Amino acid sequence: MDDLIQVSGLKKYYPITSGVLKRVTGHYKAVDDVSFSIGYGQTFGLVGESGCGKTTVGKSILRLIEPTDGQILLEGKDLRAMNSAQLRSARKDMQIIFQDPYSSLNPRMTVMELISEPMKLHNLASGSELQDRVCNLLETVGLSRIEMKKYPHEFSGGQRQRIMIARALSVQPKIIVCDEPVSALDVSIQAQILNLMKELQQNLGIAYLFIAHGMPVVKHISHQVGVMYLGKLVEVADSESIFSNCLHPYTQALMSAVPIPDPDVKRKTMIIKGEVPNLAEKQEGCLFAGRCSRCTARCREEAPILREVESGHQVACHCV
Amino acid sequence: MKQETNQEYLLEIKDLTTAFLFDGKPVPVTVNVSYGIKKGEILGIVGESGSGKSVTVKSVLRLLPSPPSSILNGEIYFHGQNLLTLKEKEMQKIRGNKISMIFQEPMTSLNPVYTCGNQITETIMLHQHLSKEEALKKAARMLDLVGIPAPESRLKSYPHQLSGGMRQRVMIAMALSCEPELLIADEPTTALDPTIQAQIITLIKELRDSIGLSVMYITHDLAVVAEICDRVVVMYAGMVMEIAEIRDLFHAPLHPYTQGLMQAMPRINQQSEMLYNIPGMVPHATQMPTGCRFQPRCPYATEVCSQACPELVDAGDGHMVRCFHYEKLRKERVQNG
Repeated sequence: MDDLIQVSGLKKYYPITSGVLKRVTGHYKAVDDVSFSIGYGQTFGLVGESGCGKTTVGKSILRLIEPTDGQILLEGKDLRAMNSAQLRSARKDMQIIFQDPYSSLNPRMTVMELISEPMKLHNLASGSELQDRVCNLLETVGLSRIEMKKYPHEFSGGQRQRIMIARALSVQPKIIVCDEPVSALDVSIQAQILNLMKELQQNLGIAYLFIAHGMPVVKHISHQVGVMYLGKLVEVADSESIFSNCLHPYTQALMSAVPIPDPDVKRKTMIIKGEVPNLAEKQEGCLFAGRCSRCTARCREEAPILREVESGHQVACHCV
Repeated sequence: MKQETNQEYLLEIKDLTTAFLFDGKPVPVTVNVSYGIKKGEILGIVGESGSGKSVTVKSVLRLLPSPPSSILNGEIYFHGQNLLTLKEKEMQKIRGNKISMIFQEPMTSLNPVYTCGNQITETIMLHQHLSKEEALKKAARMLDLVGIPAPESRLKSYPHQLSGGMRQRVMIAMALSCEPELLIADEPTTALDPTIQAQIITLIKELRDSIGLSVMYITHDLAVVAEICDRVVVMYAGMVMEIAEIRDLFHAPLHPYTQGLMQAMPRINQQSEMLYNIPGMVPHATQMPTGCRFQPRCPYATEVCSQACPELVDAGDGHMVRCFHYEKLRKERVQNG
C-alpha cells in the first residue's frame, strides 16, 4: 500500500535581510532537505532539541508555513500545487494539536462551538445532527455531554487537550500533526492522553506525526522515529531500533541524556561539547562535525546524506 | 517529633498549613506538611500540579503574598530559628543569602534590561557588602563554577543573548553567589532539552559533592528524581503521602499514588501497549474528598478510606507513608517477587 504522506526534499529557508533596503544577505535554513513518509494508521515520531526545526516540519506539511521547496504528497496529491479551495478541502484530512491547551482554545467559545466549528466550516453537519456528533465526539475522548455548554477555563489541562483532540477528530482526518501534545501535562494525565491517542489510532486508523522532545513518550507511541539536528534528519528507523541500536553519534548523545527511572542504574551521559554552527552562515560538511567525537577530515568537507544502512534504518553519517 | 531529630535537619518544616482565599474564605492548600532536609542532602519533592509542592517551599522563603495567602499553622526551623516569626528585615538576610531559590523559567526570572553581570553582582553587593569590582570578580568565578565558558565576557551579555541552558546556569550562579547552605530548585530543568537537563543535573550533583550544598529539588519527573535525589517526599493534593530513601521508593513504594505514578511513566527500556493510568484528576482545593484525599482515584480504597484520613506513619526504617493499606501493598510486592 502507498504511504499516506510522502515528504521529499522539504526546505524552509528564512531570508536574513540587512540595511534599510532589506537586501537579502543570506538564508537561515530552518528545515533543509527533509524527506520521510508516514503510512496509514502509523505514528511517525519526530525528535530533536528545541530549535532543530521539528515544529517547522509539522507546520509546513499542513502548509500553515509555506515551504520554500520540496514536495508533500497526501495520498499521492501534491499539496503544494493546490489552490486555496483545493487546499481547504484537503485540510479536512489533516488536523493539528498544539502543546499548550491553555492558549489554543478560544476562551469565548463554548465546547459545543469549539468542536462544531470545523464541521460547520467543511459543511459536514448541521442542526441536530451536529449536536449529536459533538456528543459522540465528547464521549469518544472521555468527556461527558454535560460539558458541552462550558467554557475552556472551566477545564483542567488534560481535559482541554481532550477537547482539542475532539475538535481535531470532528472532521474525520486521516492524519493529525501533534506538536508536543503531552509536554505540558502531569504524568498521570499524560498517560491518559497517550492511551486515548493509541486507542483512537486502533479504532479509527488515524496516522500521527508526533513531535516531542520527551524520548520515553515518543518511544511509547511511535512506530517510526526520525531524529532532527539543525534542520536536517540525521537518523530514521523504527522505534525499537532507534532506542536500542541508534547509529548516529548525535542520536547516541541524545539518548544518553535521557534519565532512567531506576536509582540503581548509573548511566554515562555523553556531554556534547563544542559550538553549535551558525545556520545563517554557509556550512560545509556535516553540521555535527564540530561537536562529534568521531569526526574525520571527510566530515568537515562533505555533507553526509541520509542513506539506508540496514533494512528500514537510515543514517546520515560517514562513519556508520 | 522529638528534639533529637531536629538536630539532624538543616531545615525542618513542621505541620505547615498554608491557605489561599477562595471567594473570600481561606481554604487550606497544604495541610500539616512536615519534612526536613539534612545537610548535604538532595531531597526530591514530587507531585503533580496542585499538590502543594511549590506552595510549601515558597512558604519557607515567605515569598507568597498575603493576602491572598496565609499560613494558618506550623513552624519552619532553619538552624533552630523559626523563620515564620522573623521580621521581614531579618528574613531578607536569609533569603538569597543562606537559602536561595531557582525557578522553572530562566527566561522570565532574569531581567531582560540588565546584563548578567549586573544581576549577579546586585545580590553579592547586597548581602556580602563587597565593592563593585570585587563583586564582579566573584561573579566571574561563579559563572566559571557553573561551567560557562569565557565568564568575563559573559558578564556583559544580556539574557536574550544566552541559550536556555546558559540562562539556567546564570540563575544557578546567581543563587550560589552568596554561598547559601540550601538551594531550593523549583522544576529547574522542566523547560529544558534533555541534553541540557543532563548537564544541569550533573552540575547540581557536583556542587553538592564539592561545597556540601543541600538541595530541595522540586519536580514531577520521577526519572530525574532517580538520577539526582537521596530521599524523596511525595505530595498529593496538599498532603505528604510518602517519604522514603530513593531506593526504597523505587523498589518498594508503599503508597498507591506513588505506585500509580511509577506505572504511568512511559519507559525507554520497556515496551507496553497501554500505560497504567490513574483515573480522574487532582481535586480542586475547595472540593477535597472526605477521608483520604487520594481515595476517589485509588484502586485499593475501602470504606474506611472515605471515613477517615490516614496519618503519616513510619512503616519501618524511616519510610513514612500515609495509607491504611500499605501493608497490603507490601505483601503484594513480596508475593509478586
